[in-house]
Amino acid sequence: MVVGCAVSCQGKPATSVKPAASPELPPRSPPVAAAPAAPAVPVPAPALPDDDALLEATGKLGPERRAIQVVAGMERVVDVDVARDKGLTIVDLSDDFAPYIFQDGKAADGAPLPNRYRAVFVGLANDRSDGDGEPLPPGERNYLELYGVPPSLSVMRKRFVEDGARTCESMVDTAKLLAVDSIETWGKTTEKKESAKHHFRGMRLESAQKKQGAATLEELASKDPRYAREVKDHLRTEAERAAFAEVEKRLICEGLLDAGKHKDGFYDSPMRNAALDFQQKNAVFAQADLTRGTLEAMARPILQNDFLALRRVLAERAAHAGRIIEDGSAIEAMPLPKRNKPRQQPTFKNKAGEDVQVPDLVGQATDAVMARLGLATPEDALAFFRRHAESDFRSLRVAVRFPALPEYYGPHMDLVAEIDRGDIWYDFPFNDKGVRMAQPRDRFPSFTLFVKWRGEKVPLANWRTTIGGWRTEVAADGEEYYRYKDSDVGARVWRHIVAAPVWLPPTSAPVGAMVKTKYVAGAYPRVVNYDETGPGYLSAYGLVAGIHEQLRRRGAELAYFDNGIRTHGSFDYLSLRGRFSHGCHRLYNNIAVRLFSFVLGHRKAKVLGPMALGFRRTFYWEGEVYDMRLPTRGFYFQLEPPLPIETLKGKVKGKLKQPITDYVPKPGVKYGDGKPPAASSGPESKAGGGQ
Amino acid sequence: MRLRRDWLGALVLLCGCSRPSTPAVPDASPAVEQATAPARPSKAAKPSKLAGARAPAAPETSKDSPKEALKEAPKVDDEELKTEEREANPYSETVNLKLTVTPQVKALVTWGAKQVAHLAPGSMDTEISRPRGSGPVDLEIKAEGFMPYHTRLYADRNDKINVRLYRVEEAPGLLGYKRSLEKNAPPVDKKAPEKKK
Repeated sequence: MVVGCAVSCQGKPATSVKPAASPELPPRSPPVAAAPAAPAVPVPAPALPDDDALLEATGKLGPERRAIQVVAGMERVVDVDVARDKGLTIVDLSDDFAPYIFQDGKAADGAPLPNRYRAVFVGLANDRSDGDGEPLPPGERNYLELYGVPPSLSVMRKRFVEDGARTCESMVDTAKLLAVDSIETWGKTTEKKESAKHHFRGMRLESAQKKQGAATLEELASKDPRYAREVKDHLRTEAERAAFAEVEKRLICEGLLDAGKHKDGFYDSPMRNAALDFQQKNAVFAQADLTRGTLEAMARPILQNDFLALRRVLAERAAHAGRIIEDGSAIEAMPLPKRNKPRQQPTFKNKAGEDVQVPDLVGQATDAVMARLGLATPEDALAFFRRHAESDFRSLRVAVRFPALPEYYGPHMDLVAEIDRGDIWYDFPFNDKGVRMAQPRDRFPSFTLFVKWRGEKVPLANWRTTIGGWRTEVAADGEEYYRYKDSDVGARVWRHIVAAPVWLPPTSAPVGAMVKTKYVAGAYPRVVNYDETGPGYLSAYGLVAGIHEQLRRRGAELAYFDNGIRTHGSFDYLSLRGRFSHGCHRLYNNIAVRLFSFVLGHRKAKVLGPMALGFRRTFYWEGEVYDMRLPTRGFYFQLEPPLPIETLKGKVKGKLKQPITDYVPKPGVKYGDGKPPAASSGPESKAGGGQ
Repeated sequence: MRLRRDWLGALVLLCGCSRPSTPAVPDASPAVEQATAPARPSKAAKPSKLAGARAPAAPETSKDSPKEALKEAPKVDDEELKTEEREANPYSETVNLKLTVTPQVKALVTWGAKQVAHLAPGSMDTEISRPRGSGPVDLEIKAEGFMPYHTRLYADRNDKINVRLYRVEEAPGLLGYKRSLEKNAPPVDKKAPEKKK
């Protein structure tokens, strides 16, 4: 507590900490949305003259004038104004932080334009409230990093302090964890069957082993090849079981699994939930499946995982503070190399006409923040959080020298976006017998943001996205069919960017899915399910959307036409790995938030504020009437002029070169007589019914 | 009549996202479609072997033609974005939520386990004061002879709502009612069903 006053009490002697890393930048680690990689612990660089170290502030400074720096191992409070004068960037580490797109705006007459989702976002990041803004039950955690809501620094502090007291490393046998590629899991019924199957196979093999006089199962397999397959399966299951026991230990030790509610050896609901919590806590891209990535994360020391999480949190703060987007991903937009040559780095022309590599600004800025806070190791981070009380994070900021911005930066950058649909298959993916046909893709859809600079299109960032494909849809006759949900091709613009957008379910949406049971003021009534409509991180449009509009001639004038396609964030983070949308282009929520905050920071734009919707739908479900109310469309920004975005056709594979526009019966399903009803071609058929 | 208005409203709003609107700042972006550009003729598509499938779509670029543009223009009045009604103080500590129920019958309004109001003919309004941003208020309204009605008031603004209760016999006219599935089901209980625990 006393130590924590180092920040809040201006003029207090600086706190001694471990020697700080110099601003020399360590290698970057992956951005938050990237698949978890092996830990990359930045190595402190040798001490260099620290030109950016500011003098400790003297006199009384209000909280808005205070920031911290760690200089030569000592933490000090510095004056924000002095830091800005020296060209340093102030990175907001406060718990009240929300990305730019969630800031309130002002109307032309100066009236405030409240951005209502901001409070919910901050509540979620601080584990204070749920997606509706209602208080979380005691002890509940949100773990929403993969959904685009990184934890606040207070939450990270709690995590470090709690986990710092655990000794899981000594309890878990990492060799057993890493002896398998993954652990197969099943539902309750199948799990029992599989368990029995394994047991009887073991008995069978034991008996065979005795008969053959083999010392081990491996020897049995080599003596009698008929048993080779069974022995292999048996040993793999044994190894998986051994690893499973270590997973249980790790989850219990980490405080995620209540041993009293879990049955040893079974992948029951408490353990499944605990595994999911672990994955979401550590940004492991899986949904309760015990994948290799999960096992690798479990094999890491707990504080090491927390340290990686802290770096991801700080990367988001750094990206927003610097209004930067280059995260090292732009290389993916470069043409594929030939003959095993390395991929060419994206470059831009400087004043002298030389080619300069597009930097990884987010990685460098994150490194700079970590270094300025003296965070080179998990132990440094633990010490940092131990010396700061939770209350410090109400207003904590750090003054950092960010990497110099490339020449193409400016208040109104000539940005253009491009979506490459990659490899496309229009063919129906089932044969006459209902067997799914392989439709391999070498190139997946991707999104690239470019800046036009000195006659070139310079890629700044490139991420995987989604396009439409074959989806099921309920037709007017109430039957379910397949339908190809196409992504529009051609030139469009983003005119409107919507923070916390609302999605309107089409009338064909299953009514039962629009109702859920929810805890409300001491009871569990059924209520309208607003998860998918939003506003919220679970919304079909995610945390933010850019609306694709086409300029068309309409008589003598031009008109914007919205065909229901958006580039938007998505809670469905696994869908970004090769699944299809209903036509929209999804991005990880945090990436979408970063992207549109960047665009608004570097394009002329007007804050329109919360737009009225006034949507209401009354429907019947199981004897009761439900009233869905969506008063707002979301918080709107208008780009002036709009930003061009082009969707490329991609490479069409297969026989059909154009999509089938009508419903196609599902193989094996018996329908009534007559043809399927005509399919709508309106915008609702794109954005409606999904994303 | 009320129901029909609701449906019409919903339809208009669903189409709202497809409204064409006159651009405020015509931009020389490549997205501007040229009026003189002739529409590409659709290539004759190979007949599909798939049951129930019609011919493949015309090339995507054909959508760019003015003819297609006009054809696809929604048949609703142009609807510009409307800003939400401004509040006198959008940062007030509390908000007022108002519920008005019709028809004039005795009704009980609950919020989870809490009873919010007993409504009676002549007094069919109720007001709730909540801390701003404290989460939505999901209400249930029960009245004899009417189906339980679930609605929501938003506590991130001053909010008001008019609710019209539906008699049990009106259920078939509501979206989601599946007569075929319910013809063998027991009749709808006029009393409120038990809460799920």
